[in-house]
Amino acid sequence: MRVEGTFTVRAPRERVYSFFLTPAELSTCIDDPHTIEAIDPDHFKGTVKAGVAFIRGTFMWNATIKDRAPPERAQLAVHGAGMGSAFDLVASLDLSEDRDLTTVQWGADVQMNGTIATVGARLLQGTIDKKTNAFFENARKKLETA
Amino acid sequence: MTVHGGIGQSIKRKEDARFVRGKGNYVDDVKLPGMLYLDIVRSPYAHATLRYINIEKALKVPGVLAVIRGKDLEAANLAWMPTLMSDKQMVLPVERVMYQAQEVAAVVAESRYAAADGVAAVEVDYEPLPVVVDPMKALEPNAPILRPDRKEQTNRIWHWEVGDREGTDKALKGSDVVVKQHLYIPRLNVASIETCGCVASFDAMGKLTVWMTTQAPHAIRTVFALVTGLPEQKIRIISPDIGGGFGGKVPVYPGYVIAVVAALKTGRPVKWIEDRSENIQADSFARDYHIDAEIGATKDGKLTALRVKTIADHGYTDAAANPSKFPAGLFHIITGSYPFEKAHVEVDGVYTNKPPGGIAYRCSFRVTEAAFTIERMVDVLAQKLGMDPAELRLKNFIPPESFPYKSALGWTYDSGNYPAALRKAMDLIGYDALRKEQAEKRERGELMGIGISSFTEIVGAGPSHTFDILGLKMFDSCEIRIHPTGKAIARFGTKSQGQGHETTYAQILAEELGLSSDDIAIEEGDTDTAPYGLGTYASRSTPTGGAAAAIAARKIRDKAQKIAAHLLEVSPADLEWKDHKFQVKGVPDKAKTMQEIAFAAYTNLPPGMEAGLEAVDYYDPPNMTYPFGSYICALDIDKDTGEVKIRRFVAVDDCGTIINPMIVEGQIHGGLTMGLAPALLEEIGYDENGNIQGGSFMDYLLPTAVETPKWETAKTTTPSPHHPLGAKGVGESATVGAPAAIANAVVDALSHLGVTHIDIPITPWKVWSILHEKGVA
Amino acid sequence: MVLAEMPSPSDEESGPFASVHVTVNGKARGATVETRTLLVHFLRENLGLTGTHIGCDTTNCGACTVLLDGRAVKSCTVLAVQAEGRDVQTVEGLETDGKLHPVQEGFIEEHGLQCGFCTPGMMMCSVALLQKNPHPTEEQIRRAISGNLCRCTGYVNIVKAIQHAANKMDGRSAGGRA
Repeated sequence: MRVEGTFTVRAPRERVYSFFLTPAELSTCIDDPHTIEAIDPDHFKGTVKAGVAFIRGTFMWNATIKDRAPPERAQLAVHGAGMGSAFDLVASLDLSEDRDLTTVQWGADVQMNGTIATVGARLLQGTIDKKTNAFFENARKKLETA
Repeated sequence: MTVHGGIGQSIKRKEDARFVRGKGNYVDDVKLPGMLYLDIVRSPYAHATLRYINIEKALKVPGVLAVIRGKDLEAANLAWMPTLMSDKQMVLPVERVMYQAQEVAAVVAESRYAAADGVAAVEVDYEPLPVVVDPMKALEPNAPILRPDRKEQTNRIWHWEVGDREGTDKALKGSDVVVKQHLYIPRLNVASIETCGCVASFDAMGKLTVWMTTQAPHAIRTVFALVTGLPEQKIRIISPDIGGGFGGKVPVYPGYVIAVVAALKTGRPVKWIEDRSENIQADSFARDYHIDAEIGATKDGKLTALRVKTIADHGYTDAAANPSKFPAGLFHIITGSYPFEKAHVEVDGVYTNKPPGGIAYRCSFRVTEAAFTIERMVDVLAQKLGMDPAELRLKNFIPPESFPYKSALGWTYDSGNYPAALRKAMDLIGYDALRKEQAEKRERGELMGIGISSFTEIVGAGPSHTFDILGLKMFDSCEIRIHPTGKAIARFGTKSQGQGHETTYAQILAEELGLSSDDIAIEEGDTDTAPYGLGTYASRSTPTGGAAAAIAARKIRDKAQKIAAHLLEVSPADLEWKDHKFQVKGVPDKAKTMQEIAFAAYTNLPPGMEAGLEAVDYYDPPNMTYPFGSYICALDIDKDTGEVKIRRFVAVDDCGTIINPMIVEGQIHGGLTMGLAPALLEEIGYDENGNIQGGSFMDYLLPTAVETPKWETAKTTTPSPHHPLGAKGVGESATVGAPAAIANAVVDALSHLGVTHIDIPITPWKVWSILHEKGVA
Repeated sequence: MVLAEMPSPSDEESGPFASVHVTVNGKARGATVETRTLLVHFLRENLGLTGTHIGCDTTNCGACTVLLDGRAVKSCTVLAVQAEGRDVQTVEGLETDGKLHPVQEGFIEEHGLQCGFCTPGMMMCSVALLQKNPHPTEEQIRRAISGNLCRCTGYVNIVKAIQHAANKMDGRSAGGRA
């Protein structure tokens, strides 16, 4: 499935670009309990305790930042597995600036497999929408106050 | 003298005594000293390369003893095993997984909970591969080849056809009217309330005993011997009480084989019981037929020809449970109750990334698919001609005097009286009054439908000249022994999963032997003691096992007659079997009962005669049997919600001679409910990644007491001329006949809006969408 | 380099084992089990009462129905520790002094069971219903057992079995087959 959207924030583009590609900063936007470990500047891994409705547990994930083109573009590939489920996503970010506003066009191709996508099929879209909204709201708070 | 508990009596069931006390002995009730538990790691992906399986963490989980992987089985040549259709199936994968929820590795632990912890700790890395879920797309030239191990590099498993292709094409071209319809019968899961499982245990001398949820214990024993190399006399399969089978407990599931390997490896008994989610997601499915059907007729409604093309989605391997000559089962019963002069059927089996199968879902072999198609198509034709569907059927039925009737697709129907059944159903439901009511309601904009299904089905597999499973002929058996005090024990090669054999077989023997059914113990399911049989499915027990019981009993009567003659000091030719005893012809009070004869068989024999009173019969049925019926469904549709409410459902069934009317009625109630389920509720679907949509009872909906109407049943009786008791079998008739009656009723309710067909399940959403589109809702 | 850590488990998680004491079918029973043990597993495996069955993993089928302090519950969705100090009745407790409960009799008389797997749960639910509502209508019966799935019987005879029991418990003579 494809999820995409537009995120506008009152912050300089360089700051926003750096924010979304710095794991320690991203970590502050993720509400679910999680761990992040850096392997090198482009590779990260960790765990996250998440799920759909009552189907929750701990997922192992790993991520690769690719196609860096600061401060305009980047791609992030994430693979996660756990609890008889697996997810793969490739997310892209395109940033543009207009005076003091930065607009991020984001999109992700998400593939889900296993329990989360089967037993949780009906609830999946709603959960994904909820989580991405929460993520971007947290990001906004952090970017507009610092 | 009537015998107690003879044929035709509605005696209460013997098996109930233990079931109502909670003293049944199901596989999960089996507890052995030192028993371990097996749980299975399953693939989230529908198609992926297996990169690695890391079991280090799992082995450290407290209580986990071992983790079994494909490469462990490969060493013993057990990673793959044959299917019942001579294809092959993975027990555990070595390179690739081919359907979501496929078994990937197995954890053996001290407790159920520790095993589950172990499963969660196994780390598997997959490389996803392109997924094929649409069988039509699987046949396209650039589709990924799912089975590179096969000689021919194609996703087409087989092509099968029967009938007169040219003659049918010609007859259709020359027909005044031809109706054509695409029907999809979705994938289903039989979902018996007990899931599958086993307990495998080796004794000190290396003999393997497996308690298993199986409908065919002897066939399983032979397959195990061939697959594992263990000598067959060192394998004992025990099928204890089974909580429903319906076809789902015929296949050999990988879990059984892995449990045996685990028992061998650990030296301790191993229990494997699957969860419901595993059962729905991974067990062999039923149906999944994409059908294109055409019927030709004259302009005044005389049927001329039938042409059917089907794509059969089999999942990643052909693990169907069909007789070997029939990859599409008995689908060619599809000419149904009608004397088509020309007919042609072709089916193509296709591989996809889904669980393998297909098995029956209480429908013999593909008979529901056939009956649904023909009965739906007859209504499509009736609608096109503007003819009442009952009238169209009565105009065309195979006439009662035509039996035995040879169909255009090769079946010889034993007996039938279709007009009588339909007329009785119409009478019982008040058909004419319902049609009047429907017309009035239509004027007021209310939606009401009436649907008919006049099905003929084919059961009792089967005669040795045509039927075998993996080469094993489909006879069945009964072995009887009568004790000195006039009590008896009889063992069968069939295996009840709720059909009441302990009661009904005793009734047959009571009738044939002149003993009380209370005095006859019936056993099935232990391969060490029961005579060889092919098990219970496809409504075959009464046609084969019941016949074997009658023949074996008559062999005993032959010997008993000689003993009676000896006791009465007459010649055997002077005696006749009358009123359940041997009487001197013309002198009724000079008689001997079977009790008296039984005692004499051990104490006072004619000179030169062997002691004992027993017999065994392996019965090879001369033909299949053809139960039939007419069902009429009257329902109302809520315009605002699309909900379908069945108001009345009358089922007239003919299964020939009835052994126990109470039990037959129960079979029909249950079968009708398993016909309602796919018509309105059940469906297993997949998204484009091969994820099963649902996969639990939250989404796979079984009818409860609220959705199920008060079924009304009645009967006609047209005995089978070739069966020793005239019986035909009945376990599945209702599941075969009901879906079309319901689907026809819904389409009938909406026909004035131009609706000609709706695929099942007919959910409220589908109905509402149609009403919305037509501007009614 | 670790950049974020999981919160450590708090006191909300109790120790792994607990000693559970329950009155089952009138007898004091007990065992030490993992705290995550389901009541249905406690009954079947620790206490050897295998009459209660497991038919699903999403609390839909009702095969595991038992009475907890007289109330019908699905024992697959109750933890054994939740039954601590309470009263449980299972199918094994229906028969008293060798005499079957009217519900058990009704199921036999009206052919309300075939494979028998859903039957214990179905009967316990029926017992609870008749305790609350001794004269239920057919609709009330069907609604009461709508949480118990049966694949074999089609429910018609189960309804008759419960009606048979209701009549018997009422002192009226039960209808039924000849």
